[in-house]
Amino acid sequence: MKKLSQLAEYVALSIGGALAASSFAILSDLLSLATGIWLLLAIVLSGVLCMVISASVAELASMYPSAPGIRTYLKAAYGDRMSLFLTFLALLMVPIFAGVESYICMLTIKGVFPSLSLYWAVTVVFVVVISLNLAGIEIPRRTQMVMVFTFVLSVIGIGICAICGSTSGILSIAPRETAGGGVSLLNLGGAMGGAIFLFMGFEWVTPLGRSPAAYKHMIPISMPLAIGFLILMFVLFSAGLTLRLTPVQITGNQTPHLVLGTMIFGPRGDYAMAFLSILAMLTTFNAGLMGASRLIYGISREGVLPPWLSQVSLSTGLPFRTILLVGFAGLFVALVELYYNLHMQAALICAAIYCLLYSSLLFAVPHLRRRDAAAKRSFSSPVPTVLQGAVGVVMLLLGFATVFSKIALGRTSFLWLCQLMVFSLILTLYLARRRDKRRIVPPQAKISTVIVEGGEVGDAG
Amino acid sequence: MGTLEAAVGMGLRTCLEDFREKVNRHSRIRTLLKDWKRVVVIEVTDTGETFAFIFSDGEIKDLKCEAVEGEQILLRSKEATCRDVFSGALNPATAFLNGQLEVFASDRDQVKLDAIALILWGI
Repeated sequence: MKKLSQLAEYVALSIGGALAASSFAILSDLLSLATGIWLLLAIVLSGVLCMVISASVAELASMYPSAPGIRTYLKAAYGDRMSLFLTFLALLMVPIFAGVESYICMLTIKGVFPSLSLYWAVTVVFVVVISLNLAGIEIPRRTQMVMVFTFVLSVIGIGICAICGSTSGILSIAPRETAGGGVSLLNLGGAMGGAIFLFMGFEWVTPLGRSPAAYKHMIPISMPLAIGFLILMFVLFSAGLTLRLTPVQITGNQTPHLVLGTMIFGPRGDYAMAFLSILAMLTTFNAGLMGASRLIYGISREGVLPPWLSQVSLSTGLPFRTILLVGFAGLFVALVELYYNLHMQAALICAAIYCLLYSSLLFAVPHLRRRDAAAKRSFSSPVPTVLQGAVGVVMLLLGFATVFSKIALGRTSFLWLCQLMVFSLILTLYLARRRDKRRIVPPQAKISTVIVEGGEVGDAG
Repeated sequence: MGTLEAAVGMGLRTCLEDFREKVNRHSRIRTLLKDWKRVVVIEVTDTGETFAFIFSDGEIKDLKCEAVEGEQILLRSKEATCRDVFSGALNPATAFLNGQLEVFASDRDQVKLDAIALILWGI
């Protein structure tokens, strides 16, 4: 019973990493590429692809249990600088994605409360999340588990209600002409690519194992189980959307779940959907803010980022500067995205970066197997090496294709992505060089004073 | 336990005792550890030794040479890495990020443990 409970906890953490308010907007977008049974197939196949990725991530996690994910895995595989480059890229993605997520969620709430100011709503959400993190208020794992399964079961329930309430029934799901006028079968590949983003974030469970034993079976199993739950949830919900809403109601509508909620539950059904969106957003925000701030803290403690970032409050024991940095960076980027209507480009960029990260993780496993075959691995991916490599290549191509998936936005998205990569590269080279220079300073010349200011602890640098 | 093993075990144990004394003497660390009740279990992966720090009332109350019941944090590493981390010769955050040191704890507890090294040695 205890083991089952622990497994459920890890599954919930994995699902929580992938859940996002923007998932509903992604589904709406996918329905412009493929409809009916082809969309459902795309979701299933994408989920299976993510299961392949999860096996590779699980092997890396078993080699470095409790380690903070990408920084450690990629450093082991590709060396310090490459790891830093990809880690900085991932960290730059966090506020960008926070902007997308907050926009979609506030749009959903605005659908229920039309007089709501998006700028104020986004600002309030960020301030609340930052404040909770600064106060050290953590959502207990059990509570997170309840939140996540409430969300999943609710969405599954809504999907089933929508299907049962349909006059035609699920067996009548047939591909129909998409909004773009294309044939759904040919768009299956495109829909698969888009559907991958519904599952991204499932790997955030890997640093959260409670013991070394968790990395042998529990965490490796939790990720594909989580993806399985997500497949079921999105398939049922998409089927419900397809059966109950018209293409006009879905296409271009970033909050189709509000329409569906009203259809099923009556005039106040949109309240229920808005609540679910907030639930999804909170799990993403919490994990993103905490994860990113801890990672920046760790990189600062390594000596790469400035030491003032690793200052810890004596009263709370929290790295308050990194929390403030990540939180307000997210708020700034969110407001910029809102003002210039950049959330679509931001979503494409985040998706492309994620594809690159997944690709890197996939290639890391066979590379480490060749280079360090004797290293301890409590779990080994059952996926053949060739297949891991093939999926890695697919992810790279997918990332590139994603940037150009919206023809009108492709050029600007690509340019923004290139700029982010260049910025990340410059940051890596400069900071790593500076850290290496400090390391070769003779020991007697090093400053090791600890400055204590108003209850804070820091390195004099 | 053989003579060599005893010597190695004693070396690390001495290091841990020394660490405990330093932590308990430091007023800022006592503030950091106020209201923090944890058992930090240290598993030495290459020698099989186990130690446990008992944190309570702002200090390390005891060092045991065995696992202890309580709200646990688990640290795992080789003997040399343990000795370097607990003597200030190795930055624990670097060891953690490199995978040399495994820390099974909540994010907050991880940061708190690391902050002890930052206060004591500035690394």
